[in-house]
Amino acid sequence: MPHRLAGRSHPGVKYLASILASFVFVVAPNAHADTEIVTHCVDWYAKKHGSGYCCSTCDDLPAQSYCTRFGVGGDFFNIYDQSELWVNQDVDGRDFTDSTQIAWGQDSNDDQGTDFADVIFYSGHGSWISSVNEVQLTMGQSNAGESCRPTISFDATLHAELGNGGSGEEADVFVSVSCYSGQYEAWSGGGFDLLSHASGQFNMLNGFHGVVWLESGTNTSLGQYAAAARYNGVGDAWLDYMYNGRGASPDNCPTSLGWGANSVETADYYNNAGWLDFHNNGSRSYYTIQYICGCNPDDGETLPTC
Amino acid sequence: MLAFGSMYSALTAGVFELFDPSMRRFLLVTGIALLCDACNSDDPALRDALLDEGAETPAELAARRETYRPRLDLARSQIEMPSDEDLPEQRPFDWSILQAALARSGATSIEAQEDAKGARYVIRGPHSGRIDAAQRTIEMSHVEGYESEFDADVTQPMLAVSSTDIMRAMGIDPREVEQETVKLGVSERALGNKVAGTRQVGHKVFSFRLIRGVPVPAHRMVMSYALDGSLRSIRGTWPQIRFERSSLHTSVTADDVVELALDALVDANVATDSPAPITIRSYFEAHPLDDQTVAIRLRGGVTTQATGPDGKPGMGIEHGFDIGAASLGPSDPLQHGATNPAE
Repeated sequence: MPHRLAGRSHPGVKYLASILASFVFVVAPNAHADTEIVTHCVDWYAKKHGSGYCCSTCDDLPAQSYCTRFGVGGDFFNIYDQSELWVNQDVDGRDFTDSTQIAWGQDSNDDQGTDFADVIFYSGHGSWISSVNEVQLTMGQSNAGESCRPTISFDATLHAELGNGGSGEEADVFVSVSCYSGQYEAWSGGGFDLLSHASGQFNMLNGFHGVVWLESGTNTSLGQYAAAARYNGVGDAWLDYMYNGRGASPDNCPTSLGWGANSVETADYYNNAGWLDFHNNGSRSYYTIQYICGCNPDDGETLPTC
Repeated sequence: MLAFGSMYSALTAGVFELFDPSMRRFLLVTGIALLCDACNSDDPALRDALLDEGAETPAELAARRETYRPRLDLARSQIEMPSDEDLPEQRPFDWSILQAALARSGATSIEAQEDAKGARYVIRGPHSGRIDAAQRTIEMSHVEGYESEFDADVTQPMLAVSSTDIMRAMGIDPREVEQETVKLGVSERALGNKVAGTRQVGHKVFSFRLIRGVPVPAHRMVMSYALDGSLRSIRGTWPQIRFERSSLHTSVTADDVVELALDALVDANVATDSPAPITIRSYFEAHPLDDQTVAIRLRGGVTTQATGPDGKPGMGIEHGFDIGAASLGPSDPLQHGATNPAE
């Protein structure tokens, strides 16, 4: 049964809630929802908004519009049983942290935890600390005792762990419009290996290598990606729609990370899985990252030229 | 009398601005500001602006605007004004060409399905997907992914020709296409192995839309090929543009665009504490007119890099501003929220 955590300062904002209220009512999530998407977007940071927020050096971002565009583009209202949008101070470290990694983690919490949902979307500031191979996502609310920057790849400390199996631990795909969220060096160093739990079927992380440039058209392309990946191409379409091209300097370098038993499973997922067609990739013994060869982002090595 | 009143209002408002916000509030509360005509204005925006704790004076705004100027990187900027070339022709789909292209990559059928919004087409065979011919939106992929059937030595120029042929089959004028051909790569590791093997698995031909040499960033068509050159996927949208409803011209110069970009940075309240360079470009923004067509409007975009965690450079963010005509016609779609709010 969905419930809200104590201490939340604001109720979550459902997609286009005021406009689509009647529609949402029709497809309201039931107590045994089996397809879910959770989106977390952080526009506001402590630099401008002060205590209670995370990151005293971070400028504000237009992240929420990316969450909305992804949700509407994918038509998740219609195709999924439950769609959640959480913004700013409703985005907490506990939502991205597994309790088996850190005690205060609550990523299995329905309706804000990342691992309770099949599809996770995040937009906000990402960071990469090369010395410890850590990719971190920046949260909205600063909570005592919780991290403002949970890690999704690690050297010493890993916060996120997805697809642990069992009720509320069922993530399949994570899509992130944030810098470094699919950093090649972190992947090649093994930093992402344990993000997907050994007993689960978390099979894909779509992110970016290096810094992301949110230009006119990027948001529209994100919606087109979400629409295109309903049945097929959940990985391949990500590269098609998120690469900026046109000799833009620096490049937007989308990457698609896969987990599975072997290269056949991961390639099949990349090409043929979608929001309504998740596959079982078998064991977690093979790791892949797909990319545009030679893509050259800001703050990241040039990707292999193949 | 009216002129005198306006002058008095401006003068007293200007004097009021000399005080910091807390003093302004004190003056208002104590009634001293009754002498300030603007502070008692019926215009709530003017009154709120004066009392806003964070409000900047015109002098402060002008000073902030100038802090951005040294950061402008005009060498990397792409301020392209529309050329005088003829507008591209927009033709209907030529199904025979498209079917032939698909057939070369395996037996595939295209079935027409009619609904209230017109014809849509379902692709079946080793390829599957759908085509909305009116919107020129295609989502198609091959069940075998990038697996190659044949040993073939396909070159990128050959793929570019193939992609151009398919674009032509969709009724797209080559003059509105800028192509970029890239390799698709994968790196792989087995459990416990930190050394990655890297290989090419296919090719991608990106087609980006240009109208009179200016990009339309929301429109692209991407064709992907296996290493043997067989077509594996087509994804993208390339809707028909109604040029008579579009704003294609501007009277402003490139120098004017730079000044407008500085205004946009002020309006967006971009942070001044970063040394990150700022670039400017021009582009056409698309707005849907109906289910099938769009209008385009010439815009400017100024891109800055936000500061991220640990004070390091973070996301690049583009702020748009108008440089073309303001109206798209009597039923301007911009009045109905059709534009993308984030762009």
